[in-house]
Amino acid sequence: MPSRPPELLRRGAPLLMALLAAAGTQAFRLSCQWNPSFVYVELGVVAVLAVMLGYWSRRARRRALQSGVPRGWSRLEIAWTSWMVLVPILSQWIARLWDLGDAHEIVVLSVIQNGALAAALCAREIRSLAISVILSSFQLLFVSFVFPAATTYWLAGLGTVTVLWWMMEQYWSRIQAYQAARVAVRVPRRVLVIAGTLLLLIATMAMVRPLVPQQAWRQLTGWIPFSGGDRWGDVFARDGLGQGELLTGATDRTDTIGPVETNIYLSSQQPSLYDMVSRVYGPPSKRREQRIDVDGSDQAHQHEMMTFQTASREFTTLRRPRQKAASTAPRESVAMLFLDGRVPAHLRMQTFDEFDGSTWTLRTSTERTLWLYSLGAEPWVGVRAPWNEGTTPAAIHRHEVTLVNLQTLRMPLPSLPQAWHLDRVNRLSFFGWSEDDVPEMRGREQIPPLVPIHCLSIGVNYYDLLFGLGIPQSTTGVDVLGEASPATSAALARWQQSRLEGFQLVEQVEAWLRREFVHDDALAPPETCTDVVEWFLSEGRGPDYAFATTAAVLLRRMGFATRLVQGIYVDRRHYDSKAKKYVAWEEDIHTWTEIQRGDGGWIPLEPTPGFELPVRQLTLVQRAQWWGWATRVWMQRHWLVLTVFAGGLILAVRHRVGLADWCIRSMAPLLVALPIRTQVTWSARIVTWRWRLAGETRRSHLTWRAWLERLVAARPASSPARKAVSNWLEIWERMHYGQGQASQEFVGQARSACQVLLRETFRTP
Amino acid sequence: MIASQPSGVTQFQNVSSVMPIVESMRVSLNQLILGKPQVIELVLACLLARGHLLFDDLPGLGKTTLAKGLAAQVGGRFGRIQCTPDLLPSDVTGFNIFNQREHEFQFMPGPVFADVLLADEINRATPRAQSALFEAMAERQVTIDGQSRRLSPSFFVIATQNPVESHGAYPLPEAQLDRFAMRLKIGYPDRAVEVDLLAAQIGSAAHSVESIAAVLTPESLDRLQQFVESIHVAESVREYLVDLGRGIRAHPMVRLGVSPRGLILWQRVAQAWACLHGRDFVTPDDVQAVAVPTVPVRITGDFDDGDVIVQEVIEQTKVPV
Repeated sequence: MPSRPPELLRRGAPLLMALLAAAGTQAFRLSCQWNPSFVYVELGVVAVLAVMLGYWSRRARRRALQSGVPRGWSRLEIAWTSWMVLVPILSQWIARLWDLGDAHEIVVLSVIQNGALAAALCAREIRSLAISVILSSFQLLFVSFVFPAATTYWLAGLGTVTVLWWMMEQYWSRIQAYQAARVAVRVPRRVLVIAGTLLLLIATMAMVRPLVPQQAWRQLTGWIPFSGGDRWGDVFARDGLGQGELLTGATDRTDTIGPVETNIYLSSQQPSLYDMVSRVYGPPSKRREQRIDVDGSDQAHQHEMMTFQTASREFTTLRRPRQKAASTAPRESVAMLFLDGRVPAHLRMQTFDEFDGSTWTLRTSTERTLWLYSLGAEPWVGVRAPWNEGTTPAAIHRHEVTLVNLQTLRMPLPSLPQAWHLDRVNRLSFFGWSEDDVPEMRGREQIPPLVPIHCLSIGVNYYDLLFGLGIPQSTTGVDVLGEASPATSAALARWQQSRLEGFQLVEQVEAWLRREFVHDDALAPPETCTDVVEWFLSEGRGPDYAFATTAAVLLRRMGFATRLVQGIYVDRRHYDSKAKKYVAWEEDIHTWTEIQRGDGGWIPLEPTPGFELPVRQLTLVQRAQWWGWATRVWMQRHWLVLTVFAGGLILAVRHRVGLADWCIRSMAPLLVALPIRTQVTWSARIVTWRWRLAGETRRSHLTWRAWLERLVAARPASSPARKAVSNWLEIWERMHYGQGQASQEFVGQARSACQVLLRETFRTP
Repeated sequence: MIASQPSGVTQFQNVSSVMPIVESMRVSLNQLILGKPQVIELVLACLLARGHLLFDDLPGLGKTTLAKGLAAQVGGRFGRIQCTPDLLPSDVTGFNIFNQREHEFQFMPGPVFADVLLADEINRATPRAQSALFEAMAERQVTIDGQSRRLSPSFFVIATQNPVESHGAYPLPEAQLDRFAMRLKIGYPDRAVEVDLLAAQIGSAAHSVESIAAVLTPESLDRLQQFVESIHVAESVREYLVDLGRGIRAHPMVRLGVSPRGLILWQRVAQAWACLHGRDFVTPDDVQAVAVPTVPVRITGDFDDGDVIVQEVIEQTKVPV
């Protein structure tokens, strides 16, 4: 029968809904801010006003209840509500003096949010509550459409359930009464409606996913127009070059001219990858490389051909790190590329496979055969490679890469590419494969900017790495330079003792580097350093290329084929909700390690902490198999502990009641220190737990007297247990149902009764 | 502690002062009606709760004896109405008759002007006669020829009805059933009890109504009932009562659930039950213990036995704490 307080649900649900909507709105708002300090101040003010309003409103309601005269909102409540509604507008007024602020829609949303909150707090009647619920629902709906994030959808889902529940309580109770009076069978309406709604949502999602396989959960965006903010918005997300209007305006054609006509585009330097690398990592210490380090506008285009032809041949780890500007002021966007697809993504741009202790170079060359095919009336360039043949892959990832501010012929694509497609380019001679294993365009100066490159790539299957293709490990055939240094030998020794092999070993090395070392871009090996790995292992910190180099060298010494890769790391946090794409900037130039799989494909490793591990997928069945395998391995390693533990567990389960009785009797004296009410309550809880162990669960409709007396009924009337129960019940009932202050004598009796109950009830008669 | 006022009316300060009287009544009635301690407990609870009692049972089971014994213990007047189809309302309430000597109307009180009234076979009276009892039971007053006359403050009705013979009977309407606090069945005694019963009737040692001494006056009973009304009912227990009442109303087989008056009576009977057990506060056990005698009399629906419905609702409702 209904035992919950309906008032709590009636008033609590709209308030909860308003809070959920506020959380969604503010999450969206913060995502648009590069300096959210004024948002926090405003939220603090609103919170204080809301608490005061809630307190005053509750007090006023109580007074009205006592006097029996229903009253509307008091003047004070109206004043506070007005302030709450005006606060977002006032805060914008002030914030814009410092060049801060929000888009107009967000200001309106904040006003609505505060209105909904105030209506829920001050509601006297259903009308106010309904207004609050409607406003909150609108907010959640709006935010769901313009801010496609998992958090928003969770909030919207919770809000939907809350509203449904509230509506059932408010309006559908009549249906309940009607049904209860006419139908003998009880239908759990609330459960049915909520479960039905959730199932409908899941079914809709399941239907949408096959139709829109990529980012299906983001398809809500765009249904509600959004201005994209204004000059006070986030420079990264809502204004700046190519991040909103420009990219949205660009079409999937190479002759798009819109963006080119902008001044910003024309004045941009279109740096090459080498420029980017030099900017991020600093110039090489060696003089011969400095000649092509371009960091200004004066040498704009002179270096380009040199860069393409020579820069990818070498990467020295002896660099002079640049001092980063310590400014928090908003800067102009220099987005390098946009990515649509699964993140984090490691987009490979150049590779090195030979290392002399300080410099990486390319020794071997790779050539892949390309072929052309048509898919959906679009020309796709396929790659003939071992990983694209044979069995059906576990997953195909689809990415869309759009270069914005990067002059290169190399296509930044994920590892294991299967095919790509660029506008209507349908001639194989336009594409090729670089020596260092990167797909590229040929016969042009650069890949046309702002034209999306669509790419299909094979998902890395974790189960395959462990049990299928695996990672070949050999003591010969892997290029290793000379004898290992002392630090390297020490590091290797720790892995030689382990019985791990294959990808498990690789993972352990990767995890060790991520766990034990610190990523520090400001540090670089000294110019005189001859062994960067030795320097890094002794220093314990360093830039990402030092991590990657160390991982590559260590793994090579263990017999794995590895190489160093430079490219672009696309972070999941860099999502532009206006362009509906992830953005990569100059700072996202990154170096990592690749390791060769059994089929010859190279897959990324991420040894640098702070960067997410590359996606390694498992199907559902594989996940179950993997867990099974992992559990078995773990059990084999710890069989002795497990056996002892299992034996102990079996004994404990077999003698659980006796064990519990012993524990209770041992712990009972400790209860004396507690306040008397807590002591009585806890003795009741302990009694309940103990009897539950013995298979006697107290059902919620049974009173304590009925339950306990039945449990000790088998014992003789004169037994201490029956007396203890009787005394304790008297105390319990007087404490919970009686009246008046407990006397000292009563407290003394109660303490004694609790002790006797716990001591005697569980003693075997 | 029992305190006596100068007028001789007993005052009850706490529950322990009530217990000797209750114990005395309990013992006497148990000697009078053998083998039915539970029924006697409920009858006493009904009396202390200012409720009225309906016996729904066969003839010869001791209903009248119990009523007489109760009246004897209260030390008040005992009235009896043998209900038949030709019973008139004035036979119940009394009437005004013209006194030729005094040249004025003189009121001849009916049997309702008693402290304990036995309405035997009440379902044989016509609805018109039955309704004469309405005002008396609900408000403890009767109105005759436009003049209201107060009844005894401890006015207690014990009505009986025979559930077997339905021919020529007028079932009590729901409105009147709601005025009874309880409906009880005495039932046949056990074999051993019947043997003892026969043995007790031999010779002059038989325990009869006449041998029962009064332990209370009607005024003391009124004070006792006032004390019972003051017994504490915690908020959680009140909420539990309301939950039970609403649960019964929402039960799919119940057409007419417990009225607010029914809930008030239920709470008062629970208070009396707590008092009978020496407590000055009500527990959920008290509420459950008196639910089956108290509630089914006032609910109707598509069922034969209201006890089952009440029990079902109790089993579905969470007890407080």
